[in-house]
Formats: sequence, C-alpha cells, structure tokens
Amino acid sequence: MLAHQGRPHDLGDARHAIGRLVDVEMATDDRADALAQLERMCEQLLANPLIEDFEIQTL
Amino acid sequence: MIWGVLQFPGSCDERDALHACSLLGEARLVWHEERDLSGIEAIVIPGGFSYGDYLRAGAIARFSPAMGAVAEFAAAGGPVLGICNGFQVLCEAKLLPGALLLNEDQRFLCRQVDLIPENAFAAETTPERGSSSKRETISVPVKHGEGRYWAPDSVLDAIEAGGQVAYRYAPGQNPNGSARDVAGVSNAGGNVIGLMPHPEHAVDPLTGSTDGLRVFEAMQMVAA
Amino acid sequence: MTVEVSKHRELGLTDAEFELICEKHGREPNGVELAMFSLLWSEHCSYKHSRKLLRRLPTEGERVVMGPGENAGAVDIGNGHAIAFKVESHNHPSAVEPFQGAATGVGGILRDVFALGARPIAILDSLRFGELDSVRSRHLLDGAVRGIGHYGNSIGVANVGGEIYFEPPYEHNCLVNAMCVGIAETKDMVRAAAAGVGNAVVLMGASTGRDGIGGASVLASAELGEGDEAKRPTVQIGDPFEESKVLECCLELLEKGLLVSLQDLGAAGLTSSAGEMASAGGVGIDIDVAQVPLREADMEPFEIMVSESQERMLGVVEPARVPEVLAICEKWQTGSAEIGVVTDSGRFRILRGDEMVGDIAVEDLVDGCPLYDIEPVEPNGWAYGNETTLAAGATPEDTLLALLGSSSIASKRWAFEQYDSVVGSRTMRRPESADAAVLAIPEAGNAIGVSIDGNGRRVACDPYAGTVEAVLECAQNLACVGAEPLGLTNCLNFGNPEKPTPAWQLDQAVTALADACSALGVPVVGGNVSLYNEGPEGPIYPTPVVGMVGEIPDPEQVAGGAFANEGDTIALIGPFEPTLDGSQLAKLRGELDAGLPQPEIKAVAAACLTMRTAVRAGKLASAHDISDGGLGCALAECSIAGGLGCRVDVAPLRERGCSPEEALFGEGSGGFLVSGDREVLNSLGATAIGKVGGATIEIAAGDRSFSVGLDSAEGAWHSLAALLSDPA
Repeated sequence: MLAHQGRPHDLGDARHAIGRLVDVEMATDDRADALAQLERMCEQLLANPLIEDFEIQTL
Repeated sequence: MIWGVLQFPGSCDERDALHACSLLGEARLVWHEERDLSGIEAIVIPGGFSYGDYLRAGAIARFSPAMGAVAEFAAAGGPVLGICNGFQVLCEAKLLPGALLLNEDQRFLCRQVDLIPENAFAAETTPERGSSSKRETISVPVKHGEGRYWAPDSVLDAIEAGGQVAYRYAPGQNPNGSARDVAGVSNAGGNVIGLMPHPEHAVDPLTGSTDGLRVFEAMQMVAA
Repeated sequence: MTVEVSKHRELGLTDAEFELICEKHGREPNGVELAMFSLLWSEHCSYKHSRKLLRRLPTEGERVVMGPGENAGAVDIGNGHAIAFKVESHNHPSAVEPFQGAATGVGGILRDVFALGARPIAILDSLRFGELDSVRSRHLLDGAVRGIGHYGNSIGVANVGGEIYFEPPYEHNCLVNAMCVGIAETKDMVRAAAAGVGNAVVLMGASTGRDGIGGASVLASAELGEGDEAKRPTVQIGDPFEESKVLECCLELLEKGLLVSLQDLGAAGLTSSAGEMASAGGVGIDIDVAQVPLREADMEPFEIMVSESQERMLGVVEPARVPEVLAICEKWQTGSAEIGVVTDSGRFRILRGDEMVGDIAVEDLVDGCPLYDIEPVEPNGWAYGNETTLAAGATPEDTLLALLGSSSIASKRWAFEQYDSVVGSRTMRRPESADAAVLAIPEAGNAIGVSIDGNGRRVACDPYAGTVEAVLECAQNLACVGAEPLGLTNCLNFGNPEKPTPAWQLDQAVTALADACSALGVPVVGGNVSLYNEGPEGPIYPTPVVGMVGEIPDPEQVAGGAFANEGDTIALIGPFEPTLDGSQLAKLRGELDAGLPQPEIKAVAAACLTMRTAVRAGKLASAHDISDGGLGCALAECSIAGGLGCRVDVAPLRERGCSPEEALFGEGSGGFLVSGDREVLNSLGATAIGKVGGATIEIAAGDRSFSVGLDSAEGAWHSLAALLSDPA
C-alpha cells in the first residue's frame, strides 16, 4: 500500500498505511454480475492500481 | 493561439492559468461538462482541488465529459499542460505515467523552488542567462499536499531513457520526496506535459519570477 | 410544548432575562422559542456586555461603503470597487478541536465577506497559545495551522499574513482570530436586510445536521440515553469544497441581480440569520422547517432552527425569480430550497408544514435583550504571573539569540509555508517579505496593504496604552509598504466581563481604540467581540486584535523588509523612545509589571506619513517597523532576510535618554528601521546609526557592544520547527 507511508509524530516506531473502506450497494441480485461490475469499478475509479491494491468482501 | 483552461467544481488556479494564457493569445474557460473543444489549440488543466479531491486527487475529474474530449485531443497530438491537480488528473487518466502521493512531510507546502529543465520541451523554457551551461534553472512556486511523484523503478527507468522527464527539483530543493527529484513529466508523444509546480504563478514581475511564462510559450511550440 | 422553568438556566439565561422574555412574549416561551431566545440573547449573539462600549468607536469616513452592522465592513478603493474585510474569533471551538475549530473559523469569515457580494481574495490569521513546552499547546498550534491551511487552500483564497504568539495565560484558552479581505464592484454589493413582503426566503449550500447543537440539547424531546451522545455533537465540521460551490453560486446570483438580500448562517444558524435579516429590514419572516434539506432524518424543529451546520447561506428572492435561482444552484451542485417568506407581521414564525411550532416578535428576539453596564475596577499592579527563562547575567549576544529564538519572535515560516499564499495572482508581498501583505488590485489600478496585529502582554501591562500601540503597530506596518489606512476591523478577546479586572481591561481598551482611531482618522468598519476567555488560572491577557487595510496608489513602489545593498546607510525614523516595560526581554527575565509609557499618537502618525511618502517615492531600500525584541531584533531580521550583516551604533537612541539595554531591546511605538542612500535618508530627517555589510551583526551600545554571526542569528530565528518536534 503505497498511497500513504509515514511516521507521524508520537506513534513511536510503528509503521502504518492508510487505506479506504468503501461500502457499495449494487443494484442487482446476480452475485457474479455484481462482483464483475465491482471489480471494474475498483480498477477504474475506486482504487488506482498503480499505487493501491484492493480487496472485495461481500456482506 | 487559442487556449482552453478546464474548470471543475473545486478548481482554484483556473483564473490564474487563464490570465497566463491570455498574455500569449486568446483563452477561455472550458466547464467540466463541455465536450466541445472546437477552435482550441492548447489545453491547460489547472491546479486546485477538483471535486474536493474526493476518493483521490484527480480521480473524479478524469471521468468528466471535458476530460473525455481532452483525451481524444491528446491522442490526436494536441498540446495538453497539466499543472498540480491537472498533473494528478492526467496521471489518473493514464495520459501520463506515474502517480502523485502524499508529501513526505505529510504537510501542505507552499514555497518558491528552482527547477532544472531536462527534456527537449523543458529545454525551450530555460531563461537566457548568457551562459552555455546546460544546468540553468527556472524559479516557480510549488503549493501542494500531495505532490510526491512515484512510479515503479521500471517505469522511472523507461521515462528517463525516453526523454520524458521534463523537470527535476534542483538539488536540495525537492519539497515532497518525489522519486528521483522528478517535478514534471511528458508523455511518449511529447504533447502532454504535467508538472506539480505552478508556472502560471510566475508570469508577472510584481508577484514573483516570470520564468513560468516560458512554459506556456513552449506549449505554443508544441502546437505549431 | 411547555418547558420546566429551570431549563432556561441550563441554556444560559438568567432568571431576570427569562422573566423579561415571558413579559415581552406575553406568555412562557415553548421549547423552540426558548432555544431561539437563549441563543440570540447569549453574549455571543447579542453583545449584551459590550454593545454600550462599542458605541464609542468612530465608524464614519468618506471612504466607508459598509460599516458595522452589515456582514462585513467595506471601503472604497477606487474605480467603482470596494474592499470588504472583517476579523472574527473562533476561540472556544478551537480549544476543543483545533483543526475543525480553526477551519470553520476561516469558513465563517469567508462567508461574512461573500455575503456582501465581495469575492474573497485574502486571509490573515492571528493565533495565540500557551508556551510550546506544553504538549497541549503544540497540539493546538499544529491542529489550528493545519485546519486554516486545509480550508483556505482548498477553497483557493491566499493566506497572506498573520501572527502567532505564545504566552502562559493562553494555555487553557487559545485564541484563533481569522480575517478575510474581499473585492466587489460597489454597485453589486448587497445588504443583509430582508425586504419585499411576499418575497421568498431561499436556503442555499450544505444540508442541515446536528452540528453545534450541544448546549441546546437539554430541550430534546427524547431523553438522552447512554450512547446517545454521538447524536449531539458540539463541534462544527467544515467542508471547503461545499463552500467553494456555494460561494461561486452566490457571486453568480448577485452578478445577475437575482438576490434582494443575502446573509450567511453562522452562530445560532437559521435563528440568527433569518432573525437578523428580518430585524434589519423591519419585516417579519416565516420559516417552514419541513422544507429545510436535512442531513439526518429525525431532527426536531428546534434542532433545525439552532443547527450550526456550515457552508449555508440565506437569500431573499422575488417569487418570479426563484426558478432561476434554483437552476443556478443546481449548476454549481449546491443545495437549495425555498424555506420561507417575508411578511409584514413583524413576527418570526416557525412552521412545520401546516403546524405552527414557534412565533416570536422579531424585535423581542433580536433587539429585546437587555444591554448591561460593566463594572470596571483597576487591579493593584501586575495581575498575571512571571517566569524566568533567561539568566540574569546573559551576555548581549546570548540575549539577542534568545529573543530571536523565542517562539513569539522567531520566524513563522513553519506555519505560513502550510498556506497557499499565491493563488489569485495578487500577492505582491508574501508572508515575512515585508511588514504588511501587499495585494495587487488591477481593477482599480492600485494595490492594498493589509496587516493584523495585537500584543496581549503589553495590553495586560496597560490596557489603554497597549491598545493604542496595537492600532499604531498596524498603521506602522502599513506605512512600511506605502499604504495609507482606509479602515480598521478589530476582534476584542477578553475575559469574563462580569468580573472587575477584565471589565476594566475591556473598558480601557475600547476607549483607547476609539481615541487612536479618531486621532488617526481611521474608521472602524466592523469587528467582533469574544468574552469569557478564562481558564482555571484566570483570564487571558486582554487581547484586542486589530486588522487594517490601506491603499497603495502605485504598486511598483513598495519596499521590502530586507537590507538590500552592501554599503547602504541604516537609519531610524520616528519618535522611538524604547523602554523595557512589557517587553519580550522583560518576559524572558520574569520582570513583567504593570505600566507602559503613553504613546504619542500624533508624533507616530507624522512618522507614518514620512515613511509612506518615502516608500511611495522609492526612496528607501528597506523599511521595517521596530516591535517585538526592539531594535536588536529588527536589525537581525533585516540582516537575515537580506543575507547581509550590519555595523551599527545605538548612540543616537542613548541621546534620547535610553540606557544601552533599552536602546538594544526596548519596545514601544514610533520606531522605523530603514536603509538606503545616506543623503536621501538625511533629507527625510532620519537618524543614521550605521551601515549594511559583512557577515556579522555588530552593534555598539556603550558597554553592551557585541557581535553575532549572521548564521547564528539565522539559526536562532528559524528555530520554531525544532521547538515543535522536540518534546522537551
């Protein structure tokens, strides 16, 4: 996760990375279709694949 | 020369860019919802916080109708200059390689810096100082919180080898931890240029240096 | 909905005030009405302890376009244009949450300026915290600077100047004062007064949530259970992107003549905004809370009326033009809703659909609050503490380095580099390059100088003299860039006015402000009062903060603060007779005490005229006002900025009766440090004291002569960043 690397004050030696949690409600019942759409959304908009990776969890 | 300066909700420096362009020709604002670039000979994507930097700086702007038209314009060889947020938009749109990350110090920084022009485009912007030295500099302000240029080493090697590094920060003046001190890059075709520093804020002796005007003049040569 | 009698006390109303409300209202107010009264009759909205004092201030002048009482003040800058400006405080929220407190402080003052129809072009900020060895103060400073930067940078308004002071009395009560300057075409400016019976009231901008409700939550219908605290936040959250949209929208609406009047929503939200618009217009107003776009579904009418959600504006629109207004809001992607109507009833009625939930006479709500007389009592001697941080036997070299490195004097580069100071292409003098910010005004073919100044410590020594000095300091800073003051704004930050000492400080300060402004011929066009700034150890230093805007006819002739040429003569201009009273050196030595010499206003004003004239004629290579740290620090600052040392003898000051130490480090009004051609300086009546040159700062001061390397001085002056990262 390259989008943010840092050592802010007062956290001692702990390293950290900042990510993003995006809740998406898809307008379809078809799980496979929803996942495919979501993959495309992640690759094109929700994440920048050059500097971020992403993981999809269904709720 | 007819310039078009894009304007998104959240753009900050579009009027400054418009003013700089109008010193060299006619210039008009292009609202983000417009697709019609007819008559425009060069595009400037200005600095600011388009769409409030929602998701990532530049991530939303790249999907605007105007940027769709700019992508076609660039593919056809039209000159496009992306400044600060404009550079971020061009990277998100994959019209330029790499990405801009949070400054190393994790703070916004506004400071005048010296840039070393490197490739053929940038070499046109060197102020004449009566010297034949290749390492002249131009003086331009930076003002950003997310300006750390990054690309994988393989990409950096490729753009260096391909003459796509337009500007580097002068030694000791890298304000944000950019990889290899890169301040601006061009595409392989040489018609799309992006840089984090703000040449539009270096066009008037009353408010600072005038080195920035040469960047706009060099864009005119790309158009020609 | 009737209310238990004691609820009014929880809302901050006294028993007497509550009885008066019942009397005027004709009955006990219901929950919604009580919430509205409690806010508009609070100190913050009603100015009940200060309003009588503020009547002393001179507010008229031939260049005044808008005076106190409007959203901001404005002065004529020429060619049909006006400069609008105002300073406001956001002290208490910043102490709770410095990032959002400072950010929303900036947001609020921006709205005050564009509510007039002026496009904001600059921000300045005046901040005060406890000493930097306190973790809390470092946290507050860091958060406030990040918050100001975040908001100003995102919305694209240049932050061009300010000041930061660190003093123990601010430890538990920091001060965050934000000033905004804007430009408008005078003919397009709009007032706040609602007008036109039958006109629509339109709410624009962000949706309404529970921001800022906190105190009024005692009125909630539902009992607050465990874990419900999250529903009642007290800190307002700012969104500069929202503000930029509603700003552009409002300016376009005004340009197209679509708004009859405009008001921003700040403290007390819709209640104060709609109430004040109605009061100013002598009309009534009906508001339907069911029409207000909400961020949270289950908000009660009183919550909607007192919410302090940010980035909202209220406009009055002729009914036929409402569709156009809504369309332009849509274009700028900013919220809009027709929520009410202007009436001739003289009453402020709150409806929810068809149901009437509140009904108050506008006059009772906005102007019915009693105004109080304060009871000033002069204290015996110095009412604050002292702490020694500089050894008694310190050498002059060590003293100069200690002063330059003291947090209040050191360069604030760490802070201002976090602000965009160039957006808008008007900034001719960036922070710390001259004594005042300078902004080009091509619309009028000229430029303006802007400064914000105050010194709480010196006001604590003598509130009258200290406040006069603050006004003179501002005028002197403007003179250094060739600017003639056109108007003044002020923020009065004081302790509890119901206590005798703060009451005396406030009384003295307002009198001094009035006297200084009258003597200088500079009208007060607006301002702000922040009272009850007290911590467990007592009140803050009384801190009147003054902001001034001045006119510079020729933008090409503006001096800077740095020594410019090897061999230039260095000289003094003005009736400078420094003493150590109230000085930074006295503070470091732990010798602060009551008493300051009285400044000679007329003599200082004459020196300002001499300076202004000389700068405008291009006669000075550099110009710097002598303030904190005295002549020694002023010389060092000019040397560091120019990368050129100096060789100086302070004998001429000794001839005015100063001891060597007073000449070196004493403070007071009326001192200008200039450099340039010897003959030219002579012709100005300047007193030569030395020459520019070399790599050291060498000062002959009787038996206190010394030399400091330029590198050492620079290292000391740029030590603020190190002070912040070193937890010791």
